[in-house]
Amino acid sequence: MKGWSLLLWPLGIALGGLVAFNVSAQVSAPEPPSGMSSVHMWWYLGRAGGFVAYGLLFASVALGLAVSSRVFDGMLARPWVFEMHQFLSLFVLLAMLFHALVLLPDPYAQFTPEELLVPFASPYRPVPLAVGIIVLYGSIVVSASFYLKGLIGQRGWRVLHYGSFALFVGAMIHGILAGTDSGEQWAQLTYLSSGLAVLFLSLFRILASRRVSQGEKRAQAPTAEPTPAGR
Amino acid sequence: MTKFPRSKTATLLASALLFVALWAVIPAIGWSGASTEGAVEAPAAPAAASPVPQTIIQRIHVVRRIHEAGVPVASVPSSQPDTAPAPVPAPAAPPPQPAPQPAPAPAPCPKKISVACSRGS
Repeated sequence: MKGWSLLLWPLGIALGGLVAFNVSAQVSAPEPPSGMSSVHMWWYLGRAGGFVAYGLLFASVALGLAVSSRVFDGMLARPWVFEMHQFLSLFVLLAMLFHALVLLPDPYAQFTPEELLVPFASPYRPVPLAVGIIVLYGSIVVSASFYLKGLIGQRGWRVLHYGSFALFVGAMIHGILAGTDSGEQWAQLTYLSSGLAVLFLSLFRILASRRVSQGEKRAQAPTAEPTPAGR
Repeated sequence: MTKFPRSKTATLLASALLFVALWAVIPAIGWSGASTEGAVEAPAAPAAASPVPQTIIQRIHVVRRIHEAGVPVASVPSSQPDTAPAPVPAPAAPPPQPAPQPAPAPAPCPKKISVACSRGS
């Protein structure tokens, strides 16, 4: 399938880069601590889970923008893009929950379920953590709107979907301010490239919708005005 | 999973692989860009913690070297400024230098405060 290969290429490149980076890091560091044996294992799991959740959210937002702007038309089949957008919006919820709950057993952080699920309940970086928790709940609402479209209507569904932009920005803020990898170049590149990609797709979406509306106006104009021949 | 099951399975697998790869990479990088995990946890003792000023330590070393070489102190050109007092006759053994205080052992982190201090930025 064409869409299949297009999705796997960037993932394969990213994985290859990560493996290569891992190998080079192990060469430079004589005895790198293992993620499994370290006392910080739970924190490592949380950080890795957070980046995976962020990547899935980015992919879901990008595919959603691709559905509405038709930017990938000709490259990806529209039903495939829509189905994957819907699938990713559910999968990202699992990844977000994993990212949050895997920090519970961390002996250093000693988070309680309340601190991880209630905004501003945690004394550790309360605002960025609260933003992350709000993003989790907002994502649940947006994902649920797929199945409640008949109940909330097209307009409500659209308004809720506009909120997904804020959720993506919130996830980025949460990652940058609460994450302990924000000083790393690879993390900064991840945030920068994903943010720029969403910005580009959003601008493309706005321009595409304007073009469509202008085309509709032009199409309606001759019928609304009297033709010269009719005078 | 009814539509496009292969794409969805591939997404799940790719996410799992990415997660494992990140889990392997992040411990190798360490806290906040440090090369190893212990680099941040065992900080060097601050210079202010040493009770002996650096200049006095250097002078003790010079005197000790002169004493071990058997050269009279007066024949050695002094590198000290003119205003500095004349060197004192070297003692038989330099006074024992108090060892710099080791870095405080990572105490079991008290709840909440430890998070802020140990996780870094």
